[in-house]
Amino acid sequence: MLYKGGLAATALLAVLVISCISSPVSSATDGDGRVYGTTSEADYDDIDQFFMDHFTMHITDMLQSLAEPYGYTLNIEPYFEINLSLERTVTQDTRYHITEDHVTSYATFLFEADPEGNFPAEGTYVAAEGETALELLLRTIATAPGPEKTQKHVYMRIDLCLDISLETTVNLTTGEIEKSDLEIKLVLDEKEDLDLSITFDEDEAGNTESMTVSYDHHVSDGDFYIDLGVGFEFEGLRVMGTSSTWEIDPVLTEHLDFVVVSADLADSIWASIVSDVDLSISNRKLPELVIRIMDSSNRMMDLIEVIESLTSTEIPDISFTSAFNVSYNTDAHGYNYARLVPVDDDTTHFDIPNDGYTLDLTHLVAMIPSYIVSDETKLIISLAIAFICWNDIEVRDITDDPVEQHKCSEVHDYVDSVISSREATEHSVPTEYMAAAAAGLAAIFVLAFLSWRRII
Amino acid sequence: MMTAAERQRAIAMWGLALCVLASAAGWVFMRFGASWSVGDLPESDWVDHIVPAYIIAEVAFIPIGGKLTDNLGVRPMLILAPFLFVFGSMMCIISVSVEMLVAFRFVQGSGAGIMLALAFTAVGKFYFPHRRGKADELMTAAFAIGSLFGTGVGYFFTEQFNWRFGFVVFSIAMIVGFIVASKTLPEEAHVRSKCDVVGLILAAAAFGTAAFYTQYVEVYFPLLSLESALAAAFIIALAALYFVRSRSSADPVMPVGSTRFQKTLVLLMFMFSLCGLGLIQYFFKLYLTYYDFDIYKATIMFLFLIAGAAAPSIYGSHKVFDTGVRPWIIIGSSIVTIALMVTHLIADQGTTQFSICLFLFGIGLGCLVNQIICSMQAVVPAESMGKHIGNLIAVRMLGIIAGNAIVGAYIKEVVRGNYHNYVIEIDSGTNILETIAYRIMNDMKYVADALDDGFIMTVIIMAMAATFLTAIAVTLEKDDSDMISAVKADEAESVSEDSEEEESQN
Repeated sequence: MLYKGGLAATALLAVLVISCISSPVSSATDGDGRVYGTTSEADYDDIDQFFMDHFTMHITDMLQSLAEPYGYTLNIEPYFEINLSLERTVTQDTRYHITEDHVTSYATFLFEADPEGNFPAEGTYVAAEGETALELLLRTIATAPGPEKTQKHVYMRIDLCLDISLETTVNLTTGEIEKSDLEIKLVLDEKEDLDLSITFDEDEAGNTESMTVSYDHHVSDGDFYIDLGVGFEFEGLRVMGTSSTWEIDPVLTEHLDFVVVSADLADSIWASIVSDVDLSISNRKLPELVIRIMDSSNRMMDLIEVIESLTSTEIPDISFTSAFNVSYNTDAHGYNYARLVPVDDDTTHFDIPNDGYTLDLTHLVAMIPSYIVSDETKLIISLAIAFICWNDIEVRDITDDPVEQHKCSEVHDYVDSVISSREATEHSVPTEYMAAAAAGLAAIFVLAFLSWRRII
Repeated sequence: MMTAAERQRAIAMWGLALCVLASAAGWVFMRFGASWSVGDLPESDWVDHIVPAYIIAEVAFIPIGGKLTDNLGVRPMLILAPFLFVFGSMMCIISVSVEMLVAFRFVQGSGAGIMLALAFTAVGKFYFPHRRGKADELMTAAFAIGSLFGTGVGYFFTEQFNWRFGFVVFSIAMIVGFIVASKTLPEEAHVRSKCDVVGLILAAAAFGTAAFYTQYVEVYFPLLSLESALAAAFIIALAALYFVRSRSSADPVMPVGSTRFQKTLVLLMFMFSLCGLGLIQYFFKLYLTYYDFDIYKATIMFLFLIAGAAAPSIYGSHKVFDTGVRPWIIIGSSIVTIALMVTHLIADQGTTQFSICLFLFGIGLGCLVNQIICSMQAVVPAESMGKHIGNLIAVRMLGIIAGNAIVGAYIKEVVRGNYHNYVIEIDSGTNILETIAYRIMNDMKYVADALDDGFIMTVIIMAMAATFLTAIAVTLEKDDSDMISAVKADEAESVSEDSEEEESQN
């Protein structure tokens, strides 16, 4: 559940990153033909070193020390690596200011462990009143150990590639963002090989009801892909003005260009929707038909195209509006940005920077609604981001820095190669149909000859 | 009791009917979601041409098939049509690109067009008029079943197996029908005469271009546009050339010098196909959006249409030679209009009501199609049966696809025209995902309601068409009498021939 929340957070994170880095025009001409960018990477060793520096203990040793009182040896081998590239190209003519943002990232999360201990018996354990999931787990381990010591194997791996492109057009005359075109590609490989499964059941209020422990050997291999294209048109999104603050009431209209997904991903998302959104039987029929079509061929399909061919109607655009107070600011690195604060909620904000910018990913995570990612998951993600110092990423001018541009290209090229290999589709004719075609051709030639000769 | 010759002839007709079923299904079985069903081929913009290629070829080759049947005989065409269909199908199966698939769909469609003309012409050539009813009904039913159920069957094949599977199945049907018909077809008197090749080309060009227009208007160019006007002008020019060529040819492809009755029957067939058969896809979409996005259930609903059409079609194709075609036109168009009014009033209240509407609609259809075909066969000489029937069937197909195109464009306009984009206001308490999901689900209900509301326009149009058809039919009194007299004379001749045959067998 943690990594699925992380997946959703990653996708929404990407959208929020892009929403915060689209650039208005600046009155100066220094935005013309400039390249801004940076790369960042982090791996398990960085986090482990942080723990060593602050707690004089490796992560694995710390976790082992928590497990020892319960009589368990964890034998953990975690691995983690993430690379990120942020690039922005700014061009300008007499009328329009155009920014092209390109965010690429690849990451590997691996957790392998061979825990040993007196594991509790398989079954369901009921939570006490007000008991959290962690408390229930610890209580069960402490009070219901198994009769003999055994060893289990846990292997979980996630490989992720993300490619986000955003082109934004700003009208220099009005100072308004007119349109944006966004494309998001995400590839996620998920592998599990588990001898141990612990699941928690919750009531409607989110309170833990029970915990189920199972030792069935479970292997899964998920292969998720999504290529999403969205066009945005804006009215009234003025991000540049003569005064230092002003109010806006913009309208955003989104148009879904395409949504190509793998069958695995469509199944997972639909399962989540069904569990989270109350749908009537008639409202479930069309999505279930689409899912059935995808599962029958197990290939990637454009959901928009499928739905439009089934219904003979186009997917309608959806418009959103909200009121904001806008102000101009300068961050700690000297980069200017427009800050949009919702009129009815000043606890959150959206920053639209000029040119270079400073990115705080923890702020973006905090903006994710709780009905998408739980507060607990957001906290864990924020802590992880803080560990790798991604709460203060400077995207600086690298127009005259070929080394940094090359580093950005390396990340981009790797992500591109992974995604391209996933997009490649085998186009060969199945053998049985080749045979059927050969037989059919032979048959019709023979029959035509025999009929011509009046033999049949 | 049937004689051996009659039995053999009947079996041949069943064989031809199987071929007609394959031809009709070949048109529609890829219509539903062509782009996603061939998703294992390299992406191509030509995917939108997969279905039109078949239709254009089919319509273009119907008049060719009819005329060549007159000039070369039924048997040679019975070899050519299945050969083209199966050859095209097998090449479609091994297509490695969408472009290749489109090209061989054209070949497949050419075989289907020849087969459609051949089948109805064979009925006219091998049966006396008063006995054509059942055979014509067989061919009409085969065409209807293939057209109505081909979509659902095609979807089943694609979902369960692969889009190629449908080509295999329908090719097998065509081969089996070909073998049965080939072995049992009666002998014909020697027919071999040269064809007006230029006339054939012009016929194919005129009908094919008209079919092309119906497939691409409102898709690639608006109805009211310069491109549309130029295309229409081109079609008219081709039709004029075709007409002029036929007038000057010794053996014209187009039936020139037709009687007023024959011309009226062609006009009635076109009008009815345009205004009636084109509505079938409206029913299909109405069911999908209103009740259940289950393609199988929507397809099965058309059993009610078949059930309604069966009795009047079978009865009428025999009785038309006693009553004339006039009363059937009046009754049929009136019932269709009433059925559409009832559909607008009650079809949205439940699947039972929906099926009643389809049943009524079927009754109306059953009073029209077969009776027109039988009447035409009764008043054309056997040696030019193919030319006339080919022309009639081609006009019918053109009417169907034109009606489909008009209704399809109308459906889009109804849904788009009534759509109001509303704005979601976001505040701190808004659950965006839930709001979007709620909005999308409501949109589906909106589409259904819009379709239902738009149906009243089709009722008005059909009522106008029914009035027009009735007015035309009223003028056919004398022609009907002539047809009835001609059929009675043929019947007397056939009775004496049967007696002679029976005596020779004894």
